Amino acid sequence: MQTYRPNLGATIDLIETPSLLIDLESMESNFSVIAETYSNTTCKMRQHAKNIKCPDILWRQIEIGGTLNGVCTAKISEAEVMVEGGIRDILVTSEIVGEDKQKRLAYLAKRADVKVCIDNKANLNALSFVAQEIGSEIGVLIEVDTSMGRAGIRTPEQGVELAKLAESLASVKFLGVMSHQTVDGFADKETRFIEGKRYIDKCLEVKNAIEDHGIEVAIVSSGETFSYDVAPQIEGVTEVEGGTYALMSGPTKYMEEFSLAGKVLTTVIDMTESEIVIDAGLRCLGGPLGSTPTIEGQDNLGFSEMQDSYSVLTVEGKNIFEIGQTMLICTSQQDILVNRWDNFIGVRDGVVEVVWDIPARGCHH
Amino acid sequence: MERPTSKPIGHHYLELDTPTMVINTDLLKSNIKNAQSSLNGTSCKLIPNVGTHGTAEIARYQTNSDHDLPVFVDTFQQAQSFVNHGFKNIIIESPPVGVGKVESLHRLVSTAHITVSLSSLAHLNFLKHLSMENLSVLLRIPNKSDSVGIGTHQELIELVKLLVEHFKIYWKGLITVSKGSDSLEESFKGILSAEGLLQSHSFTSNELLINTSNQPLSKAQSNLPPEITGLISGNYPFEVNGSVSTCSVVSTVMSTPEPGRAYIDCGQKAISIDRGVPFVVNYENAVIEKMSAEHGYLVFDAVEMNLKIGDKILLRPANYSDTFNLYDFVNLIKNDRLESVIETAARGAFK
Repeated sequence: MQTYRPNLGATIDLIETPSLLIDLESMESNFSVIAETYSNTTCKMRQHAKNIKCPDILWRQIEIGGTLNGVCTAKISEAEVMVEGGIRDILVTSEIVGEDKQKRLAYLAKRADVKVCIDNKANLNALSFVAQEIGSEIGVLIEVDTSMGRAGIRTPEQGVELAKLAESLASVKFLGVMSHQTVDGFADKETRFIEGKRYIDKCLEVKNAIEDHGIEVAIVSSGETFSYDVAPQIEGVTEVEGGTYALMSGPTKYMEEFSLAGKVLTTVIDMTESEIVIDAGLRCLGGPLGSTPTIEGQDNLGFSEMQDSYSVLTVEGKNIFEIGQTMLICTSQQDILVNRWDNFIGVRDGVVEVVWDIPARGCHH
Repeated sequence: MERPTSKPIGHHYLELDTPTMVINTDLLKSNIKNAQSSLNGTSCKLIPNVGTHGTAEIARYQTNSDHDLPVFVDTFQQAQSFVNHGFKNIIIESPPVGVGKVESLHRLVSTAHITVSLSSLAHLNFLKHLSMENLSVLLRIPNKSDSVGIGTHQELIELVKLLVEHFKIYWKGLITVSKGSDSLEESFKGILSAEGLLQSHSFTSNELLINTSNQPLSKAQSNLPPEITGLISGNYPFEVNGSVSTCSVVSTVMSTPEPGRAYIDCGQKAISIDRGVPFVVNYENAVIEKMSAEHGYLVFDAVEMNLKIGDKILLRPANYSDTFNLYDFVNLIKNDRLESVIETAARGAFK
């Protein structure tokens, strides 16, 4: 683990590279969009911690508004970091398998309001057994597969069966349903609304089926960044699991109301007539299956090669760049990138205002 | 920061918290020994690229705990991490561009011998106020697989002249990078041609190094010219031994929503897919269909095999370096039991 920290008040030109920066103004603007959108709705934002991995930043969204004062996490280890960071309402959006992790979840439920997703009876029975043994109560939400072919129940009938079982078991409290979905490519507002509603309706079908059997469904957790403004308009949705909107990334640029806030500062370390070499490579940027980032404000530069610790960029037209010149990289996959860094450097008007550690980095368990 | 496994030493590796990276210690040592002995009797030394894994423990195996032997890293921060662990002879791939990196270099040479790789006059200018006996310079020669390096013969000669005649920095020789086994021949030709040119101007390199870090050592060794004095290699400790993986990530099946599909707790944050999807080691009929940030999707023929929740899946990364970069701790395994937990201290050392 590396611990470079620039001095607060340092100007951006004094920051060593590569470094992961947050444009504070952009991030706060993104948080304000959420606060405004959810200011008069019963549905609220439950920000996803997997994208940020830093309780202090998640607290900023809670303070600015629009949230239900809680977050989601993908893993139990992330949930532990969030509770340690003072956040007391956590939804773990993955099934937790194995006695050790279930025990961690049950103990965490003694310290905070902890909820977890389930999609099968064996897992639910195991959670109940472990929580009973430890003397805590875990909230459970049924995960519904609405489009992605991942985990989650496939039919409303499966949901009803699971809800009935949850109601009958000790130490678990049935709370509701949840789903996750995505849209591919560049989605305009109409597409986002049509697709978002189509997916969320599938989740609501399960809710309605469960309620038809006399079981209360208190939480419908569905929607994410691409459908943040769709979900609150659909009756029955109580919360949205948005994460990407905080820092944003290249593939979600179509969400024009949000600004790209997370960028990597890099330096040109070498050059030829038609190429430049920068000191940021695959290790710090990531590039799942060949995806590449872009350089802010430099449309004439394209990534042609990404190595471990550097990248080669092709220059279209005359190469007027210089060794030592810095530039900002706009990420292609934000949460994969954040998971590789140990801190964020928060910058406003070109000056370092805050350095945040990323305590949930590497929390894979 | 990732927390190390909560399991005690001696625990079976399949019972560790997942996803987690495990290394078979016996195979690791055997791979290292075989690699070292394969260069016996040649004038070429094996220089481990310890930036591949970032752990001092494995680097010590690679150097037989002789901290004076050279190790290769990518960045100044990685170099600092290994110096902090006692290593005394470090070759850094990155040129020292920028105030921060020059300051890092200053710190490094106070406790270790450092060699940096340069490819332009601009790089040399960053060193012009330095006079350090612990600093050496290699000049990087481009080739068909690698465009990074000194652009022209004239520039190469000028740089060597400047180093030898005006700078009080030791010019050690030349380095080139081969980015694929099909480009080895061209890489050899490139560096030997540059050396021939220098010799015709009465300059002789003491070292001719070739960096083959992301390719199998056996391929890199083939047809190695006798003039090459050092072969830099990164993956050899982890190479597959027969059908057995030296290094893998253990994951757990979390959900089996449909026949022939399993959802596992290992995604791109625990195994990199930057250079390809991982290989399923322990179920030959199963393949990774896709990976999200936190999860993986396994598909298999449900008639031939079945998976249930809790089953363990072993995944071999498409690229070891990319996956070490995701872990703060990795687990050494001997006879299927946890032998020790080691820190990847140079992880995240991007600067």
